[in-house]
Amino acid sequence: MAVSAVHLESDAFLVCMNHALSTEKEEVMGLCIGEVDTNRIVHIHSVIILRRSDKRKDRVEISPEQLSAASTEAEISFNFTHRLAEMTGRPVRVVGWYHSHPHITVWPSHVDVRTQAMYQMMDQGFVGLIFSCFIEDKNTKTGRVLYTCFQSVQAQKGSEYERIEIPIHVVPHEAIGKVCLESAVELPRILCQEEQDTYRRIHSLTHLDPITKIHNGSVFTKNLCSQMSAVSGPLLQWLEDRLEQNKQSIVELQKEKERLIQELASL
Amino acid sequence: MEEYSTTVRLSGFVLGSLMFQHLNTDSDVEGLLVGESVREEKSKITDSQTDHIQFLHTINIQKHITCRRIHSFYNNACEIDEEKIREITSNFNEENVIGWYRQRRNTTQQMTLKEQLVHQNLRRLLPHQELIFILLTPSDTTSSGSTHRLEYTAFIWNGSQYSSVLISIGNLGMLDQQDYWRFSTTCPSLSRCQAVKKHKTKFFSTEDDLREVEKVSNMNDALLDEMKTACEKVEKSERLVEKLQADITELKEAISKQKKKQQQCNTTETSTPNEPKENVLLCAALKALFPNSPSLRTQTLTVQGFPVLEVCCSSEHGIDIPSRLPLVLEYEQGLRKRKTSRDCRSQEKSQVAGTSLRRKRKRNTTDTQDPVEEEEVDNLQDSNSPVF
Repeated sequence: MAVSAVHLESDAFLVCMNHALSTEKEEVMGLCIGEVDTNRIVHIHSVIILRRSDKRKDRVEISPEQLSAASTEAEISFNFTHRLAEMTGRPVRVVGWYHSHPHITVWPSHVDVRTQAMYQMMDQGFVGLIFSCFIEDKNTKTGRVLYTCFQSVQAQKGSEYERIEIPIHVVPHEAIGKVCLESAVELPRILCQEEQDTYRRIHSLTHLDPITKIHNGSVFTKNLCSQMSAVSGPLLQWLEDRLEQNKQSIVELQKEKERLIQELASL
Repeated sequence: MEEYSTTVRLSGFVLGSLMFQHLNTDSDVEGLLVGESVREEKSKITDSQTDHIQFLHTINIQKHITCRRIHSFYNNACEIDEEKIREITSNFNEENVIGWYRQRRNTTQQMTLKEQLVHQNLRRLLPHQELIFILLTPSDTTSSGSTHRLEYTAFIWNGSQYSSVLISIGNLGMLDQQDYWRFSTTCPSLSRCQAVKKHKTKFFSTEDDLREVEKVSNMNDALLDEMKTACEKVEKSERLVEKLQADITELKEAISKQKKKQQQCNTTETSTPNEPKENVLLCAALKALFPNSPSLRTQTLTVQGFPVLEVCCSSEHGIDIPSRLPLVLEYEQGLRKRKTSRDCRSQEKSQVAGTSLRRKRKRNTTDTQDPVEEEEVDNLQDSNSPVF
């Protein structure tokens, strides 16, 4: 049976958006963590950024077997690190996946629909989210970001699949959860690891001469500098701004709390 | 020939943060933008022109300052509160305030008249003349609520009107791993030559590891560690904010409960405020003076001004008339004496006239009049009202 709706907490949404907006040149993806309630509503309260071993600019999906392995690993790692199941008293698991569509329409492609259908064979409550970004209307000078939620069903004719729309609501969550914060800062680490792996693979080729190696070293330096400039730097800036904002909030909230304590005492 | 071009840039994290702020609020949100403005002049030579100059103006938005509520730094007449602006920007150099923003749901990407006025007034106040206004408008794309959209544009005053400027989102772009060379050049002499052998050690720390790669990796690792520390501090502050908000909610509930409890106590001790308080002394005095006129002992009248007999007070208040109301007692005694002497005189008159004035007045009253009321009318017309 199809899922009735998806409730995505706003701090999890923030991590997805940051990830999707990190690059306009290739699709990125991740897993959604949460639970499904008795009303068939999927509650997503955090996400895990996935590292892609086989990067292609125009494709992002991974095979169901890879997804299953990634999900198991994610759940084990997730529950071990965060003990979320203990804290909430509810089982948490991978309930969906998200990926980005930079410069292209938000609607899932036929490949996305087929991939989603395969995931649903393992878990019929599995949902797909797509974030479309870097859309620009040159006439009106307007930028656009869209996001959608879908599942797949067997088409009436033929053996193909078609998408069904799933309502998605972003649920307010003013304070950013620990899990979401840690997922957010995982992005530059993942990017760095991907770059280091690529460099090591190439650097290990034995037939390269010193000039080629020096060149490749420069490419590695250039790419790491791009990451620091475009991702790590702005992320660090955002963390510092958030800390500053929270400090001000704490001062105001403490004053409010003291005022209320006095009011209660006077009654 | 001159060409002017303006670009507005912000990072994906700033855009994400703006979206996050609005998603957690029911209403519109506003705030100020902090960043820097960079101007560049480029000469461009083409086949047709040798003096083509391009003036490039790039506005980089580094962060946004959230306002707790809308209309916080301006009033209904769109006049800017300078004091409030200074308070908001107290941690920043005012020159770095390069604009402001507003987010409103389900509306068009057009500046309203109010926003235009606020912008003009801000331009007069803030030092940065080329102030920008960013408008973000989220909306639903499908009726099912499965797809949502956010549109965003920057507006800038160009002297005669507002023009819109496309916002460029800074990102990683192409991390082109195709830049790596997988094969060496086909020049064996290059590898064997003395120049390369002599200078090779400046680049390689060991036989194979490049110094440059080690240095940039170390710097990146240090940056990631610093980010982890910043993340831990933010996490602690988030939990503290959450706890304080929870404490405030609890306190407000406790205050509300306490106030309700007190209100309930007050209402049980005294009569309800809607009911008028009974003047028991007056009631007792009226009963003593006019024992046959219960309608005088009511506080409730109809719309036409007649007393409502059903709510007349009939209870004995236990007032000791001689001690509490001695004047009433004196008056009552006087009344009795006057009545006795009047009765004697009327008996004498009736013997002469045959029909009393009282009986004529009786016939003039309505047929439906209650006998009790008739007696009351008689009593009142005997000038029995006390004189104060």
